[in-house]
Amino acid sequence: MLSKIISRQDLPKLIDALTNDFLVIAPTYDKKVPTFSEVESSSEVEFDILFNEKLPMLPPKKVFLPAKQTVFKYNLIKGVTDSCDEISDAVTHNKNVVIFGVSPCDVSGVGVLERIFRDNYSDDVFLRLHDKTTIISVNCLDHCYENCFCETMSSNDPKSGYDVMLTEISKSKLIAVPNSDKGKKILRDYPELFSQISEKDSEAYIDALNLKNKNFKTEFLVEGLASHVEDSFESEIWKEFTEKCLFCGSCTFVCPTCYCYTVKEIVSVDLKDGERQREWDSCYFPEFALVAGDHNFRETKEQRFRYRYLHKFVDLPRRYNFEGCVGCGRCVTYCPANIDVRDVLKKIIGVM
Amino acid sequence: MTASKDKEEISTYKTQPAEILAIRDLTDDTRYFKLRCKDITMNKDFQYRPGQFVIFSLPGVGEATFSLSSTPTRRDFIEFGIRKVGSFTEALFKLKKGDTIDIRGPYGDGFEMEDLRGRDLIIVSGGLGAVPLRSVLLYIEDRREEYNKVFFLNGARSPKDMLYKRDFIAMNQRQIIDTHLAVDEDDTGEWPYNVGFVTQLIPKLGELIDSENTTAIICGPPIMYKFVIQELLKLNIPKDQILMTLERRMKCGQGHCGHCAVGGRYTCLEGPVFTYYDVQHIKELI
Repeated sequence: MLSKIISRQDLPKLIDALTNDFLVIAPTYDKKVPTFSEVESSSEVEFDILFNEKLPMLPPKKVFLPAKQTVFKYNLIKGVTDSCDEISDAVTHNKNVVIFGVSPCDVSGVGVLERIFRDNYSDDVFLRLHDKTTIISVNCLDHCYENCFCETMSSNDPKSGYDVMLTEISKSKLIAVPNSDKGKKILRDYPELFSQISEKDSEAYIDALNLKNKNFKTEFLVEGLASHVEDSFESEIWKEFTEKCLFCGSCTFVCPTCYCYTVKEIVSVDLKDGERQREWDSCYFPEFALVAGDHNFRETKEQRFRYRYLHKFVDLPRRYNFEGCVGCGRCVTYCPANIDVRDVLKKIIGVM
Repeated sequence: MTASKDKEEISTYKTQPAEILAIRDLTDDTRYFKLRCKDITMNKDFQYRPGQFVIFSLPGVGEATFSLSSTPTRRDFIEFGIRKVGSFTEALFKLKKGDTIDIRGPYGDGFEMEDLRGRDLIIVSGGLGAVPLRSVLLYIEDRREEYNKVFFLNGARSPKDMLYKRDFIAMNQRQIIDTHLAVDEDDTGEWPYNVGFVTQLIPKLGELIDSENTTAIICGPPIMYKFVIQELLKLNIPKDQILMTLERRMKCGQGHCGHCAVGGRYTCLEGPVFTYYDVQHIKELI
């Protein structure tokens, strides 16, 4: 199946067509904050978030790994009343899902999560939502804002993890490149919105990709980063940032690759019904490594601050061959203490 | 929920009901639980190795992780030794014989008992470490001819704090395993066995074992590992023949929730049993 062309002004039509067949999640504003949310029509979608280079506050992980997620519901006498699959299907109204307007770095982030949740015991809760989702990515041709360092983390050109990639080849035209059966189906199912690609379009596409290559700059080298971070275990640098950090966990929540969760029990007041929930957890919280008998494997703030870096830049690369960071810069944007992950890493590497 | 089936087939939170066959007090705050899967066919399928663990689920309370304390050589029931330390165990201690607990697992990488055949074994336990090591000990008793010399050193704070005291005294009398029961302090004045730290018993084993052919298995409170490992290294036991089982906070048992990660390893997948050789350089291990 070949790539097709869609005109910029037809994007709302595409969204509207998709809403008939899918649950569509797209960038919107929620109290002025760019947010991925469920939309019923194209009028709710804020296209300027996509094309004026803003990242939704929470990455698409909120769809597959929501901040709070009911795993099953039960009645204390009758037993399980709603299974995980039933709940997950109800959440998406028994529809397949389209996430529209995912940036390349977030595609890479979803890829990280997918690998982790598919590995070992494949996680039904995550994968049931993930596998029914079609990801329509909108390509970035330049750094989207000052906190973006996706080029450094090699995340702005994902080879997989998206189903369709839309790249602007002119002010009025985008090329739609399918990358999976789900993606091909989108192009096939809405033929009136997609036109054949001309030779001129192909050339414009190559120009756009060349422009992308030229625009993106590497801020520092991640080659050897794992060893740098590992060797800096006793470094004073951790202390310096630990003193600034508020340990609020914001960076872990907005992170596209932070996946740690805890499990909670919610019980009704009459103690008859309940549900088990997954909830985002943060390694910055003191109880994260606490075990029975009050033994805490990471008792100090410094240990907890450092651990996040060890996990993202040593443990994950060694285990999965990717960093737990896609350079989206959200942790920088939303840090109330103004800690910049790039500063930490640059100091560790010794280039700052 | 069986190890015999491919683990990919296990549904993430799928549990199976198990009936409590027996409960008894081990110490003031620790109880023995004997369970049997209600589905008899499941029961036969429930294959595990010493060192593995199971996650209990109590609707209305939550989930918690417990080491298996029984041996897979004795079928049709599984046993646990559980200390009351939090809200889950408090609820668990209210259950009675005949009640049901939902369980999932077994999880983790346990001891490869087959690989230890023909070796001398030193098993060192401290406090709650007796729970997973009881599984190893009973396994060895049932297949004693497969192993060479076997020593069991068990430490407890005082006689009343010793887990499985009845079982271990009986084990001492059977002498199938050379058992040494130590208490840090004998507040009764009547303790007929060793008094002092369990580490003090290790040097005496030097002349009795063939170091190169010895495997040590240890589990105990965090403070114990350092001293026990020092003593074992003095006996020239190879680092990759010191097996230790580690504790971590765990929520899923499946390598996803992130809590048990240490030095790039998931305690719930690659552990809880590690060799000292593999983890000697890991920071924040204990």
